[in-house]
Amino acid sequence: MNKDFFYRLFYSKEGWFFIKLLIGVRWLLELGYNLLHATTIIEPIGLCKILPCGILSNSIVLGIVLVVSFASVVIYIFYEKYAIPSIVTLLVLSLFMISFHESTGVFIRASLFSMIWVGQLAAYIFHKNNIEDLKKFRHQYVIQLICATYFLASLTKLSDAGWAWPQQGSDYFALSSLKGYLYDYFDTGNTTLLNEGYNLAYLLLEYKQLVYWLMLGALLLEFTSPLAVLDKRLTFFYGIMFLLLHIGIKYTMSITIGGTYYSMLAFMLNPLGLLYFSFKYLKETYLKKEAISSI
Amino acid sequence: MSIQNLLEKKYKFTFQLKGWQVALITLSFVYIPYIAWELFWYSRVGDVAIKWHTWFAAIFFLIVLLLIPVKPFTYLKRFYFLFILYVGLSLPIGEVHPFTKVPMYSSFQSKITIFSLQDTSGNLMPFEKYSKLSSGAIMHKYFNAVGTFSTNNTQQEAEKSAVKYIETELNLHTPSTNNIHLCKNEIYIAKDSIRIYTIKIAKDE
Repeated sequence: MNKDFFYRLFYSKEGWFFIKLLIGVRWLLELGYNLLHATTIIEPIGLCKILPCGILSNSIVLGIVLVVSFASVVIYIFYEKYAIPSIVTLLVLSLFMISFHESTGVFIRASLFSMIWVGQLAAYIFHKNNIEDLKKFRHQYVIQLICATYFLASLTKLSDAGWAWPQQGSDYFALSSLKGYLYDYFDTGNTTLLNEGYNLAYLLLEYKQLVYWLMLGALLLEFTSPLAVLDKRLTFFYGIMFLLLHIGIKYTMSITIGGTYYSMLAFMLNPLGLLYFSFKYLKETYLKKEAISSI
Repeated sequence: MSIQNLLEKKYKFTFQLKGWQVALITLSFVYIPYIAWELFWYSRVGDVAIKWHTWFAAIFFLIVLLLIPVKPFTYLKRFYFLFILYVGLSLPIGEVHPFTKVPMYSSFQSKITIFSLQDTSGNLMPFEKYSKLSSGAIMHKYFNAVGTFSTNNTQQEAEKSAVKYIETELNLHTPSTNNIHLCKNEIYIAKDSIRIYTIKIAKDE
């Protein structure tokens, strides 16, 4: 995997298409699902203080918003010519829908689902006259925002608990882990989940030292995330580390922070693009071998 | 030449400055005393010294740095300007979408609280059978409601009002849900053992 490979993975037409496909579809599914399950506004937050977000409780308005979202995602993915209008539409819809959802009292922690549009829009505005710069910066600006989110997480941990955060985690992480399983148990009544939760919590209490080192690693990973902006290979490396972090969070706490996770997955790892280029590479290698053996 | 002559002698200085250098020098005359003043008050009163003008000064300074056409700053501008802008704005603005300080699990509690539903016999009633709200969503709503109600009430009153609000959201005051109660579960660690303490909340509380 040399530098050219990463250039193709993130900046080529095919690589960029697969990034758009993953993030566009995921954005639509996550926000659509959350909107369909939203309840009434408890207190207007953010944009909802100035806009009448309550109209999203009306099923006709909700239907129109979802249809417009779907159309915008399709245009964004398939029609590069209309990148700017589709990104602007998606940004406005995102800000509106997420602000509404947070005003119902449930924070879905999806700031990146709006910021990915900000990053891309900034690139299309500042670099529209230079296609090579545009290819680079529509990806790099989003990476900056993803890394900024992880970096903010580390700053908040350091400001709240300081460098004692890993130690605090090793003492009480078992409770946070059990909480996720208890949520699932109280939702479904499935006692298997409850037993799994207790088993895992006791395991974490038994291996406190290991938990300490894993938490310290996670904190350092988030704190050093600005390095991922410097080079495409570092971006990919940090993507793998963040993927492991999210897998650990999902396993221990049954939580997936969709906005952060899918943005990171699409822009730092581009799994669909990886599959495509790996398949293409294998096919070319196989065809070359066939050609050589037939000579 | 005597010292008197050296002091009496006239000296001519000729120098040119670029616009950004003039701006930076001018700003230094403002920022250096301002930072000294802020540091003095921070040492006296701590975080309370950080006000709106502190954030404004910090963000303005970052913007000026990004505009300076000097190699390290142009590098920052090219590769980190959105990063710096987003971090710089999220810290003072906080939890207003799309800005966030990402506060999840920034510290760990020694006790956690989760709501559940039980019938009059003490059997668990799963949330998915009675509501489209999950227990996680209920907790989010509860904590937000406590925050909202605590602006004009005591913490205890705010928690009571928040519980009533949750019961309304779950439609627990209808005839069909007469035998279903909201329960508050408190989970904590005692001597490396996990304990759970459940309190059934009476509907007329």
